[in-house]
Amino acid sequence: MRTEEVMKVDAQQVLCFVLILLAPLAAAGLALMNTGLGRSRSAAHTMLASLCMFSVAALAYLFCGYAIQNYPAGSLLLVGVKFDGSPVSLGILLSMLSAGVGAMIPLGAGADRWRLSACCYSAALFGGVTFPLFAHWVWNSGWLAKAGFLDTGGASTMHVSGGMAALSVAWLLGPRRGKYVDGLPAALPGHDVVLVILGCLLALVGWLGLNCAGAILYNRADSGAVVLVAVNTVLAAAAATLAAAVVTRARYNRPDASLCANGWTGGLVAGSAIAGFANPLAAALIGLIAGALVAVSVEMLDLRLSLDDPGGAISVHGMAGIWGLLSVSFFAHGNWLAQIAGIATLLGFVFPISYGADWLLAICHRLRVAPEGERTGMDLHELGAGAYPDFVTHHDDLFSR
Amino acid sequence: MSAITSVYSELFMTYPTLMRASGFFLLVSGWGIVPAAFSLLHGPGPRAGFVLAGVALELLGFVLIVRSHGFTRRKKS
Repeated sequence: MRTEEVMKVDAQQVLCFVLILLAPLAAAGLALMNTGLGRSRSAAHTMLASLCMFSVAALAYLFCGYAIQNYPAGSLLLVGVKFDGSPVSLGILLSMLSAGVGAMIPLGAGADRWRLSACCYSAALFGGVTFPLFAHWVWNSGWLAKAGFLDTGGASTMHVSGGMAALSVAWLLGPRRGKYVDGLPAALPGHDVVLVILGCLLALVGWLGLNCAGAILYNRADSGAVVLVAVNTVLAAAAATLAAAVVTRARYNRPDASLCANGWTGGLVAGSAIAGFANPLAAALIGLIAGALVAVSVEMLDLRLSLDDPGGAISVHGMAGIWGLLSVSFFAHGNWLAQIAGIATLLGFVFPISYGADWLLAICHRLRVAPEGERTGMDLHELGAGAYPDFVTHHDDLFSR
Repeated sequence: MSAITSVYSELFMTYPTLMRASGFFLLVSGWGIVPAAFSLLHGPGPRAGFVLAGVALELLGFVLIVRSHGFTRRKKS
């Protein structure tokens, strides 16, 4: 190899490594969003659960995830892997962080009632089995990759898989106490919109890192193409936020901050699927549809299906992710049959695995906190102290319903 | 038509768990057709037909699961 080529490869690897280092900001953003959209009496619990789920998923990936994702070459406990900055070692780092981020997604659906230990079991399953198995099929020359399925940003491996896990958690846990009175949903707004919006802005940085690093590693994009990935990611999020604002303005006479934040994240998720393949106009259009879809779907799940999802994880990661994967075939000349096969695998394989594992866990270990714990708040019940000890607790926040 | 609807509702009300299990069975069976179509069939037409049939089966299973959860919730409340 000539000296110039060696330097170009090295620069590409350094760029990829720096981009991967931004990925933890996606986890920070998700944690802040889930916390802000939950109740104040469960804020510390949600933050700690996010941290624990990320940690458990990363460790589970170390233990067996890598071996599954890189079967048959992979090994348990990363034995024999050379950490020399090669694409393989960078891929391990990206996958480990992706597993952590994906494992945190179901927490949005289970907030305010999901026990910490049950959260950790779910994260272990995600990081150790679900994520690596699907990632093997998509990123490591599995049958979906051979069929022509395209997803370099992790819309399917991380987000829709996480959304499927969120759906099973929401169903198995049931709604929060007081959410449905005589079959009608009550509004339980998030306690801190500032945290939610800050989370959105942090998540953008993390998503830029994940999408760009994924494009370099799995699509062999060069430095110039990475700029397009970043532009598409930003455009998808921006268009989705505006669409969510317009939809909520049309439905409730004013834009809803939490739904706009959900729209933003939905745009980022849809953008993950198409950022490496679409042109900027298509990315904006895809984001626009994703934002509107998220705003409508959050309300539909709540009203029609009685699914209590405080963080909107099912709509944001599941629905928007599926839309993003489908849109690859419309806007980026992807193989539509392969994209549909990927979505069918998420619905027919990942969802039953997530549901079945959580259902088995529920038989031997309680998933949901005791009614007393839900009344006093997850912070006091599970951690022994609240997130905001100096706050005045409102009467209806503690004793209602 | 109303007789079918009432039998349908009766089934969900009486055996929600069984209906849910059937839904999951359809979901997994539908998915099984998809990779099988990719590995066994080579023409784009037959492959697309089988994949779409698998997806349709999955959607049927998913509807059963959604309905069974709805009925269980209504029963509890």
